[in-house]
Amino acid sequence: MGNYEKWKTLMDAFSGQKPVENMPSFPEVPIVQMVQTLCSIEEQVWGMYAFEREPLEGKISLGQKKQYIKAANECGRSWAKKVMKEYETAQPETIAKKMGIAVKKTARPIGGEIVLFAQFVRPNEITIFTDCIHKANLLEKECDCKILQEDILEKILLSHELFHAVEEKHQKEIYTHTEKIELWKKPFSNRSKIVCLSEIAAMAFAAEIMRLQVSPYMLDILLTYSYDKNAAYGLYEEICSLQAQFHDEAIL
Amino acid sequence: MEYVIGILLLISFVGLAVYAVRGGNLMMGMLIMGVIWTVLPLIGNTFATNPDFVAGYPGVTDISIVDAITRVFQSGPEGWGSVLVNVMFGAWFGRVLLETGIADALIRKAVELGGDKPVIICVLLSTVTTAIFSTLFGAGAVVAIGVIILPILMSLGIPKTLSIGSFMMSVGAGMYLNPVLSGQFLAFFLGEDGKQLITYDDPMRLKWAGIGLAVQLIMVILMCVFSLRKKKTVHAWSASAQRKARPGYVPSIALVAPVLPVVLLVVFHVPIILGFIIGSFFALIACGKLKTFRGACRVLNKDFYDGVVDTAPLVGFLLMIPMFNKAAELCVPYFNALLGNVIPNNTLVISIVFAVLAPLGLFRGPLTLFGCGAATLGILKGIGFSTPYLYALMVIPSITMNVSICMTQSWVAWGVSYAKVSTKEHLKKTLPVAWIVCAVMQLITYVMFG
Repeated sequence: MGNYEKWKTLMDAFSGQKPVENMPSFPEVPIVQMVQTLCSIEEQVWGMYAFEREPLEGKISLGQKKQYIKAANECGRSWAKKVMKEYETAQPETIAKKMGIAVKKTARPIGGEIVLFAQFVRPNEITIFTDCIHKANLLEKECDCKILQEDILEKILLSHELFHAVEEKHQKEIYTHTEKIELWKKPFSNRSKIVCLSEIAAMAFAAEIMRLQVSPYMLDILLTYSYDKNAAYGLYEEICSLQAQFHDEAIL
Repeated sequence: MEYVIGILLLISFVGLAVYAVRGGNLMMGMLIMGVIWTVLPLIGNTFATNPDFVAGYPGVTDISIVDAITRVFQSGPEGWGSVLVNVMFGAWFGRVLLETGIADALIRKAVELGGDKPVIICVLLSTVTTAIFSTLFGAGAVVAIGVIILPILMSLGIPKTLSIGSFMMSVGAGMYLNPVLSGQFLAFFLGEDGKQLITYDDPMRLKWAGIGLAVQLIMVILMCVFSLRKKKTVHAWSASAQRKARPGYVPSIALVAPVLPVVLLVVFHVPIILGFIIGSFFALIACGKLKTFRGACRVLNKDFYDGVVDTAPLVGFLLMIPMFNKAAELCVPYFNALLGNVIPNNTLVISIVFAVLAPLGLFRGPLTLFGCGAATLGILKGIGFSTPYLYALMVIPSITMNVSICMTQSWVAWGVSYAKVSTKEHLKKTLPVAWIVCAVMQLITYVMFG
């Protein structure tokens, strides 16, 4: 950092131009070791990882979570089979075309904390952010993880978002939309969906279409790694801790 | 001579506006302006020949150089000391609410009530955010609450621009009543003896602040309802930071802690610092964090330290503002000589002008007290408007434009970067709403104080 940058950083700090953020440092892990570990994480553990981000997590017991995770994964797989049968293809681009979904590709500027990979905007638009794909392709050379290859990764991202399009189309019958929990006490009622079930099912859907042996959830960590290694180490630490808890419970 | 000085002052004022808009460092900007606005009137005072002009401002046009520099560079920052103390205690209280998990629990309760209904969630979270920031202050607190609320809003498919806009404007709504921020505004209105000309618990000011909070919150809610009616929601695959461990069990009774200091102040006239102390201890005891004396000392020390660190970035800027304010007082005769006949002294016209030009409160422009509005206030003070009217007039754009939506506000810049929203998208979503809030509040101000 040059004198100008040092001076500017100091002045910015004093004038309140940058807020104080305390991001903890996580232990570094070699990428190859990280990939090996992530490949071995069970579906149930990734489900618990999803529930950690569920806004209604506090309303659901551990036993219920396990049942929900199982059902959501089954939902994702069964809808993948239905969709492949209906559209007679396993190619996500073709499925999107036949479903009338507009697929856009946009590079995304770097910066900020939230790393976006892809998104589905109701009713029929999917955007793939190619910046993360290009970065992942470079990472693939380091760790030899096949799902980071440009064409495979793009299809996984598209398949994941396609599930949300399927949900939109089959709202009344699909499990992730029909399964609800009661939030209010009688005589009042507010039945709510469990948002993370959609994400769990979308991962299973993408895995089924792409015939993956690993969970696409591992991309959460690997794609983040290209942008912010420390944040990726943090996510890795979290999933390892959930895996350990899962095994402890299994032993008990 | 007074016209020459007046023109030079005006040129420097425009220079500050350009500097601020271009993102220049405001701490340095305020210091330089403080020096320029001290030197220019002193030169003018030395060479002023018009006897009416000199006689018209006793204590200003005949001030000695030593008195002038003492007033600007010594008394100014010293007079701000009481505000700083309030900021520190407020920051400590904020840190206690975060560390005990009360803020987190409040948000979770709101989410568990709303479920997957984006409109209900937006309304509930906006209300909770406003309630929290009616007492909490500081970029650290906004970031700490933002990292809980924003992922929830986005996970429900609420567009990023709306998530950021509604959150930041809800923070701003709470600021109308926030004793720490109000203290900073009130310090612009000190008498010759250094006493406040208007106080936080002034009944009319308090009523006005309550209305301001309600108007901005209602507009945020309407923005959410209006924006979400098309149901163009988004499912984004994104990675977030590692999930933090929950701070522990928070009993329901502890959830009243965020509003406790303000309630104690408004209802029982308990001074705000004592209110912060009572609120902090109440929160710590209710959450079982003060079980042993040694543990209590450790918690108290740590939370106070973290709270003060949260506000440290603001301190430098806050200490330069009073120099600028005091220097602006020396310039009043010259602004009056130049602009006295141009600026209307009719409150209705001024209110309309402030409503129409409200966006000038953005980018540290001439309508925000956290920018070159401090000079605008100096000019308006010279015309002789009442203190409550001037206070309300200047605070509206300062809170609704600057604190709530402006990219030069540290926490707004953080939020926009966090969610990867462009400045243009952010302003497109929030500016019309903020402008309406300003117009409505200027109307209310005219009715109440005009």
